Amino acid sequence: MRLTEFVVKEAVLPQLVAESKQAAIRQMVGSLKGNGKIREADEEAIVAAILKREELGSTGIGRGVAVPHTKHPSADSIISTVAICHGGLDFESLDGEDVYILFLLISPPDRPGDHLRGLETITRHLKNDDFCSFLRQAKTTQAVWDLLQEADESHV
Amino acid sequence: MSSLASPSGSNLISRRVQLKLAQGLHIRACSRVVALVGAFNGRVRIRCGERSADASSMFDLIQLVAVPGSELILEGDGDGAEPILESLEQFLSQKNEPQD
Repeated sequence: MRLTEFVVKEAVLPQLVAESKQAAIRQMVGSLKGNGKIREADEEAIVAAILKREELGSTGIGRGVAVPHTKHPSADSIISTVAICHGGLDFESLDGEDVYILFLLISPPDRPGDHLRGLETITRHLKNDDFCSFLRQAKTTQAVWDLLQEADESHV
Repeated sequence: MSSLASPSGSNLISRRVQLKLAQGLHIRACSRVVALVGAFNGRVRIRCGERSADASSMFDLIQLVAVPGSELILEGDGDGAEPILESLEQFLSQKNEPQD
């Protein structure tokens, strides 16, 4: 699976400013809605489902990365957006550190394999220190997208 | 349970487990695994097909892409490895995860 297959370029938020993880999640879902990837009618339910999932345990998985996610019947295939929070965000991460890179994922409910492969793709690239570092410094959508493309090409 | 000599000369124990968690080894399940092995001073690895993960690393575990029904091999090395593998087997063999 390639990052650029499921990340929605137009919904990338390269300079996210949010006061809380709830606000960050709301902005990211709003960006997918604003770009026509989810219906307005589904927006609140998706935000609520992601926040409910966070209550079960933070998706801040360490290395300054969070992967908030949910499964929703409106998703025909896995979709994602990326946000870079240059100031850092308290995400109640497992390692206690602030989060700078967020990948928000929405997957179809009946295909756990797709969801796991999406997570694998994201974490495989984010284990690379250079990729992580450059992504944290990216300040435009195109800069983020170029890095995702480079990552995809280096692992084909 | 089987016992093998590890390269360091200590005893490596292993167990085969069928993953029954309904959502596979997803993030919350991985964090539970990390928590279970957190207090253990030895090493635990989980193998799934050709992939192998350090059970104390979220990033490693996610990369197993272990879907429901996968056969996992748990390997522990060090004093107290057996109860750790027992706990892991118990957790990975249940269909419904505790909501804590």
